[in-house]
Amino acid sequence: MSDKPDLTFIIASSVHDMKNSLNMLINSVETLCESLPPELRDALNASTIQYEAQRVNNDLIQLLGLYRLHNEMLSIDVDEHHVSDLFEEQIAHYHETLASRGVTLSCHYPDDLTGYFDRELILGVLNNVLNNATRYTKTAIELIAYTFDGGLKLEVHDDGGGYPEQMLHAQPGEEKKGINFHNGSTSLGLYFAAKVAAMHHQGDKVGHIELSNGGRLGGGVFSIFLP
Amino acid sequence: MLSSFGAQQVDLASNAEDALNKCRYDFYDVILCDFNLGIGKNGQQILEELRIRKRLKHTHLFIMITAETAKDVVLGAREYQPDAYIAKPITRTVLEQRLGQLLIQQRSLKAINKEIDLENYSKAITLCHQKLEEKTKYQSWCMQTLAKLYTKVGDLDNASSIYKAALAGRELPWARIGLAQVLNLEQKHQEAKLCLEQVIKNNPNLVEAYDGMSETCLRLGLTQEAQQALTLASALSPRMVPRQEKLGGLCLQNNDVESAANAFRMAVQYAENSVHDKPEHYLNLGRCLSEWSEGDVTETGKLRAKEALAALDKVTEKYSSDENACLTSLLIEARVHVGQGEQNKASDTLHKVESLLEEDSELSASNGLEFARTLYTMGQRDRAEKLLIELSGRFASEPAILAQIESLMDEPEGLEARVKAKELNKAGIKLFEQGQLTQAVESFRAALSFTPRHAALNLNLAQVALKLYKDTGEAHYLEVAKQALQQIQHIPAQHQQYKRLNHLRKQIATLEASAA
Repeated sequence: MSDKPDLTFIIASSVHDMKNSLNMLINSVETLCESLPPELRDALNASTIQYEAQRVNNDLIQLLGLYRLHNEMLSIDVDEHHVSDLFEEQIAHYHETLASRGVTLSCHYPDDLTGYFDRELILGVLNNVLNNATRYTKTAIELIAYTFDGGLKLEVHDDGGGYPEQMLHAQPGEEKKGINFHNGSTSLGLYFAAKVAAMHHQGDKVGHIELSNGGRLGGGVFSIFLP
Repeated sequence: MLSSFGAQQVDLASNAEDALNKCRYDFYDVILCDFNLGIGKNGQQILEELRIRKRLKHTHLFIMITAETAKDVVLGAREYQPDAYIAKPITRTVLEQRLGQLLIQQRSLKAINKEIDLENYSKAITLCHQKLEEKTKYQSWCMQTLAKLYTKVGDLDNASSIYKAALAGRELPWARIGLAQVLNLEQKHQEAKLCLEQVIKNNPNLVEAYDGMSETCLRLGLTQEAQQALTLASALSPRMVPRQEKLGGLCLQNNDVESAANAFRMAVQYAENSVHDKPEHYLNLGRCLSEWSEGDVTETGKLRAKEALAALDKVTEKYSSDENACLTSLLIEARVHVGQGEQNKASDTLHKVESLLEEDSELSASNGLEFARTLYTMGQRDRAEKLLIELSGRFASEPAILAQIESLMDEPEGLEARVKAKELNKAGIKLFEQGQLTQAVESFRAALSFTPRHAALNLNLAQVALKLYKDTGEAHYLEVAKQALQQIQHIPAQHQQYKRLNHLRKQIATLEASAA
């Protein structure tokens, strides 16, 4: 062992610690809120607390994910999953927060649509994108899924102001698919999403993400292709 | 929370022991279990124990709740296949939704799982086919289950065609691994190996693939490669104790004491609190370290001997009611002392053993062998041989035990000597085949300087010497052959080389008669 501490390892263990504490916090807040009468709950702005805590939690999970990715310790378990299960879980997750903000969340996909992916990793990616969309959208979010090029395409549309121009176009020499990861608060999440997408491959096709503006609701569109 | 979802009876267990106790008397439809349970067993160990003790049916749900995403934890827990993982933080809505999905699936597949639990596999196969025709959400599950069931009942053609059909659509690790399993059963090990190589290349974290690879390599006689594959699997998922045990054994087969010791160290470490906790892990570790430290009185040698003694002490302390294990522990301990040049301590330990053994008590085969090995190490060859001959009479109908007796009798020496003797013997055989007889004699003699009482080796020497005698007429070659046979007078009639010994004896007698 060298005398120099491995800084990334130290950061990773601290992140791990923070995540565990945060989980305790989230659970305590939830229990606390359940015991409160509704009017007090609203006054406390419970959904904001939960939303922000969830946001920090997502960031921490992604930091850990990136650390593992960096050290080739992130394992991927690709199996066939139903899009309905994936989306329903996200709806369950965000229903309350979105309702309190007056945002509707809807899903559109063919019945029995399935795809091949790592359930936990893709849940993490969607979770982050939805968390962001929640922040920037005005009235609605739509989750779309369809078969594309022999694989699965998942999209998140919102009616917010869309992604900033500089995020849509890559600087020369930067990560693929035209996303600039160095600007904006969402960079970490998108970087992670791009890495996770790229871990999914089939034959010579590799997964990737894309950002655009407009879409079905006129706001931002995040899409991920999973071959 | 669960009651509000409609659960009729909810029991809580505050720790692993409590949970396992409750499962001993009741079957639960759904078990929610956190991975991290503080002191004692963790969630994986609970799942492991429930699976092994058959307290978890296919119709039940085991859901692991975890904040852990560390690879060794995740891969380890995945090996016992919980029905689902739920990552923390769990909110009420997420749990309700996820549990709902799982219960719907469980209900839909209940009839099939029930037949699997009852081991009515042909009925389960019929039900799987019916389910597939219903075109439910669970097509993929049905296909996988069907292929496994076909493999189980030995209908390899059907299993193989399901896997191949799945693979025609896309590259699926489960199908490729399944296909490899079928190929192995069809004795097509080379093809199975190719399959698994492909899986590993695309999915370097898939523990199952390495297990399959190790198994396949063993069938192909590639013991080194088998060890390599199993080492990789253990590195990915170190918490699986049975795999560590298997790896240790494989390392020993490959004469790799160092890696064997490492595997048994891990077995000891991860068996703690688990259903796999048993004295054999400590004894195996003690054996490896004893062998590794033999004759090494440097600091590292001393440390290894010390570690061996600590592991062996643990046996007499932790499993004091297991007389057999305690006896084995003492027998190995004596060898560790000899290896460190501590003859007095070794004699003391041996006295302890003798006082434990009652007059007319018969030793078990394994302790008999252990005892003989220790006697050899302590320089009591005659006593060791007497014991082994007694054992080979007693276990004459058990070939596996006889083989162990033979190899100990042939080569009571340490590992290093055995390895050298083996190499020289091989070289000697090659020289003999090339017709270089005098060089072959030299090589066999050199080998015998390491393992002087090795039966096959002495017979090889005798055979070549006799040929030289016949070719050249030089009398001293006849003498060499006679001496070689003299060395192995002691082997019992059950010994595999016994017939060959008799044959050569007769040959010598004929040659001597005609010379006279």
